[in-house]
Amino acid sequence: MGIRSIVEWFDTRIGLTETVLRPGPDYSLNLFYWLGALMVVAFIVQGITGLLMLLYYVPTVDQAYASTLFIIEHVPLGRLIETIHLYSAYAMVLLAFAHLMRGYLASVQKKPREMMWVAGVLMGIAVLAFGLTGYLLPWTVVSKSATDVTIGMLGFLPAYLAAVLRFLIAGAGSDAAELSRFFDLHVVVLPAVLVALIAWKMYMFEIHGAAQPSTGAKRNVRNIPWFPDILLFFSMISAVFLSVMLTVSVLFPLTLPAQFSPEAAAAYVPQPEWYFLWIYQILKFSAFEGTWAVIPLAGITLAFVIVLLIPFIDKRTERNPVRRPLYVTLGVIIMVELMALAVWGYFTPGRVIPDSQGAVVVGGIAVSISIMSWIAYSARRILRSNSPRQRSRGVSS
Amino acid sequence: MRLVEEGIRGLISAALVSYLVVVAIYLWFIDLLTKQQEFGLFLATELLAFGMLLYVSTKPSYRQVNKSWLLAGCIFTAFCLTVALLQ
Repeated sequence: MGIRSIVEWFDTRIGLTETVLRPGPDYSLNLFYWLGALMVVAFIVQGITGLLMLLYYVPTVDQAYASTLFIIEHVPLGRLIETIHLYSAYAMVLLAFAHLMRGYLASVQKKPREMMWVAGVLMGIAVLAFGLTGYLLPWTVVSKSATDVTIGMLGFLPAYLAAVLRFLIAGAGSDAAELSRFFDLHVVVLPAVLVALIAWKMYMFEIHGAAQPSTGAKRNVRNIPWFPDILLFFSMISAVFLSVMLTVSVLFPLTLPAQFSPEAAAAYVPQPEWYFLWIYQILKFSAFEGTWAVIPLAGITLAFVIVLLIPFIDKRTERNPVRRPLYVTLGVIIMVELMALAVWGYFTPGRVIPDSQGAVVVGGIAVSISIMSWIAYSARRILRSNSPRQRSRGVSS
Repeated sequence: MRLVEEGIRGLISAALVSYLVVVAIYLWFIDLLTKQQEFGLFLATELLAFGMLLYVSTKPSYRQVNKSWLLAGCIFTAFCLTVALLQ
């Protein structure tokens, strides 16, 4: 009884080659089609390194910092595992953003893949929540101060809603309850949520398959077998991805900041992780100081809701980015604004930004990209109308 | 001509497999507490060599293998090895 007959025995009963392991279109052997899968690889790395750290980490106020330091200094490969856990979390955020933007620009969210987009955005929010909850666990002055600022933002919500959310994410109010709640969320709740969302998205992917290229339906699509072609391609990009992540982890190893104490926190300007810096920078605009912070927070919440509902807002069937100037320009503006605000926030910790400066930077980026986009789309239209093929069409008609 | 090209592909694949085996043996004996960085860098080159091996061997012909990617992989590996040996 050979291996093939064993595989066939299982396949006849489970039907893998008819579902998840069925042949795929040749155009899907492209890195941009695999950003979501690489995010899952990063999530698996997170799971493995997280489980290894759980062997030593103690989630109490007294022991959290000491146990993290012990992992870094005394456990074999401890520093590397801690660093890989951190950088794979960064990789997840970056890949989630790249996957979202690629999907948006290629319009993969259009009918019938609307719910796949919703699942993807919810996964992105879960990844950010992972980052937020995991950040507190080492109990350093940096992580605790930044988390306190985040929890403090709940004060801008209506009182009853703030109280419920504060209890859900930070417990009864003590440091011990906060750490314990964040640990539970990070280790139990969020992994379960993310696994459920991945399963839901994979289920829909099995129904709809990979989206056709946005530049038009391909003719002569060749289906390639899952084994070995797709599996080897996926193994190849995963190996290169893990190699790069390992190298970065070695070259820039994690160094633990000082342990949290009220005295240390008083001398420290709290700053969030890089993926929340854009929110931090908006909140530093002088117009949004104090109770006015409710305006940008409401705006950011609304923006997330709009992103979630994009497939139900942009219902046109057109997918080619060349014929969707408005949505492509909006996407590029948001992408550049987020990056600019994050970089700006990184270099101006704790500094209040004058409104005029904020308006010039944010407005300037939006206006510049709009003008560049208008020029690019107009130039393309003029070039096309002057092309010999278009002119011959005009003469013949 | 095709025979020569496929011969080159075979040689590259054999070199990569040899590298994978040698580094795997070295990684087995390395001290995980004091040489974490060295371990990480060697493992990174191991993964990259595996990726390159898959890339070289899964293309229908050697002509379709992008030599720039192979060169980039070699430079990256050389960089990692240099840093690892300087540790």
